[in-house]
Amino acid sequence: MRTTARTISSDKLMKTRSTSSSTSARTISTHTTVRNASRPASNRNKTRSQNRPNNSSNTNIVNRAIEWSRTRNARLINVVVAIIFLIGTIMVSLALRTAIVEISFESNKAQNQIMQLQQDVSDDQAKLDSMEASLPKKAQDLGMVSQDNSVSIDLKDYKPSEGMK
Amino acid sequence: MSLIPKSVKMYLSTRSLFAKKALSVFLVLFLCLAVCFGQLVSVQLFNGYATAQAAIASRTVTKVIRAQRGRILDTNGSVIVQSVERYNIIADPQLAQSFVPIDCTAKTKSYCHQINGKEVGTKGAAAVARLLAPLLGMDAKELGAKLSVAGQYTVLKKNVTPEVKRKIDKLNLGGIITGEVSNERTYSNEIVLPALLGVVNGEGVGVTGIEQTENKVLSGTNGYKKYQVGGTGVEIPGTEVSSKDAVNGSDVTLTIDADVDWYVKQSLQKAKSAYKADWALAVVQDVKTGNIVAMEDSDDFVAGSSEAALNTPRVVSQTFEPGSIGKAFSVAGMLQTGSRSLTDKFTVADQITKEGQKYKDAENHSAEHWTLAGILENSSNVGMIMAGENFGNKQRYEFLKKFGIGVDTVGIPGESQGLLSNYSQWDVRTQQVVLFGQGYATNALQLTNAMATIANKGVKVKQNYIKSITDSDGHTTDVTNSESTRVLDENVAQQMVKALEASGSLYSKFAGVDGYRVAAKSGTAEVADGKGGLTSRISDWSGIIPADNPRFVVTVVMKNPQGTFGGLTAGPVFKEIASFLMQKYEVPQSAADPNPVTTKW
Repeated sequence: MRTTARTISSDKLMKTRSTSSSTSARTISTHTTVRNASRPASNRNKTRSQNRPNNSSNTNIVNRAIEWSRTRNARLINVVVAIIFLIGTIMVSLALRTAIVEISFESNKAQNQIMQLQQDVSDDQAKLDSMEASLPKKAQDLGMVSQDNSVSIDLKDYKPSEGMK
Repeated sequence: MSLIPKSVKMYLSTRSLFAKKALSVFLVLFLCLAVCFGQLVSVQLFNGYATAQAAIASRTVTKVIRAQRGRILDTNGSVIVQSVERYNIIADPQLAQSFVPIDCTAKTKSYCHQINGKEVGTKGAAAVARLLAPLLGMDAKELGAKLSVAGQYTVLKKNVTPEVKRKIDKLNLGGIITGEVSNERTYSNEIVLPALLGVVNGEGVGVTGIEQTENKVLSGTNGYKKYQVGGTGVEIPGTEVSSKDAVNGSDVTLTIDADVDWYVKQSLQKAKSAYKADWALAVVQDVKTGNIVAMEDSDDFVAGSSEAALNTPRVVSQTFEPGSIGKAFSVAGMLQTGSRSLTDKFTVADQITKEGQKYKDAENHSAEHWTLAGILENSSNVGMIMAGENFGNKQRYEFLKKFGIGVDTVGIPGESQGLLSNYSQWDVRTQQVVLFGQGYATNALQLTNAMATIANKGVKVKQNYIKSITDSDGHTTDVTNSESTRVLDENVAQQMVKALEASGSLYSKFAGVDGYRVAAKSGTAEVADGKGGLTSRISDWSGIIPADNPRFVVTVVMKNPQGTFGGLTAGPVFKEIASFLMQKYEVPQSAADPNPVTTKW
């Protein structure tokens, strides 16, 4: 039972692999055909085999990735942009959130300071009002006396000077 | 019947011991993972919303935004009473008793404990008390005792200033000592209007005086802010659920001029001392508006004190027989009803007997040839009885009532209305004595307004002591009551002012104001002494100044002054207050009276 199951799965795997590789091969060969059409037929296989050792492994990976991406509907650049954008937004969001938290602390601190200042202003105003109200008492304590009569000028006998006439 | 399937047993039998052990560990781990995953699914999918809500609820706090109680201002906008933020210092005695101070080193600098750079030297409640005592201005032993009680809450001191609270915060006693925000009413001048202003209780609710009557206006509406907090208690940004701004209480502006009121207070306290009176009181009223400019008494307790809470202003709580001042209202009634004119002639002896009752003048004198104005000038009781022949009981009662005697109120808590019984209840003697200010009781405000009615060309204006209300947005509403009633014809009122001017001139040496004509009447009445006798005396004076263009009425009342007669005791106080008023309000001086009233024949 075990052997049969393994055989079946191996067969399936093989089929899948061969289908996939045949599709890739088909596609690659198509591209190769187009690219190598300007070269002599004798050089085609040679060129392919010679190119590989000449490129760096990274370039090779990128080329393969590009080649692979061309087999898909979405262009690689779009995928890259989308990923960068996603990562970027996450990073920006994180940065903004950090900034907001920082600002929140600062805001909290500023609000506390405002409250303290308001308390101080209110206290000082109360002191000022009290001092203003105590002015008459202080003046009295200093020996000052309020004027008994209102100041008035008696114009009954007033005679305008010659120049004013 | 084994729990393990046969196929599994066969599989295990083909494996090594290590593989078996590894598989067991794997299975255990897988089981743990499965449980965790199950829990995760349960929390996230099935109970996710409820759990999130519970978490939010546990983080959400509601902060009350306290509304400021409104201020009480004088007529010029000077602050008389206002609220300032204070703190009640609260301690957790249980934590205080287990307190161990941390010595200060470079490492512990930010949270250590020390007193003036020295170590605390003890621990527990005593250490907390030592740290706190200098800041709270309390004795360390007393404080230590307060911290040594059982429980987790005790108030150490109320109404501590924010400055002190900040210093306490720096003691690093967080958790043991906290501050609860409270409001304290502060008074610009503590001796001004203590009983009238009243007090607020611990919850900031007005319980006496204006604080009580205007409590609804003065009280604001607290706001709130609902938001989530982090572990440090700081608001998490963007988590505000709801909020409502606090609406501060409205300001109440009085008609009282605080400067004048203070001056009146000083004058009354001096007079009380000079004449050795039991008490003295005074009212200053603006004739045209009915606004009370000052109302004071000689009591020397301070605003906001328990005495201020327990007492009512004497100007409304003390009722008394006005004595001879009442003659002015009787004469005015006689003139208004046409039963007499000011020039009617009388020969007045110093005593008279009517319906078996004997009445005497205050001083012995021979038969005098006085006009009705002369009777008023000389304040003759006998003359009033003679002049009142055609002035019936009903008229006597109605005119007193029209003047507001024993009737009018202004709405001050503790106000006593006085007593004016119906004329049908008057006995034979009362029928006569009401003509000269006895047999009924009034308060100083009523008496002042009755005189102001004469001064205001016979029109009685409703008295006001509250001028306007200004809400927290700055909108001001005038609340003065301009309701008025004509009591006397204008010419009758003018005649009365002239008659009163003659009466006032009799005491011009004591109560005259240089440069101004004064229309006034003095009074003296015997009142109950509380021991069943009539040995106590009320001496009063009510004057209109300037008589030619009335601006103010000033009434001064004293109980048991040495000097007895109102003109000699209350009169000089009137002079002092009236002089100040004329100078402060820059009132033009009076012209001489070209046609004074005839008092003798």
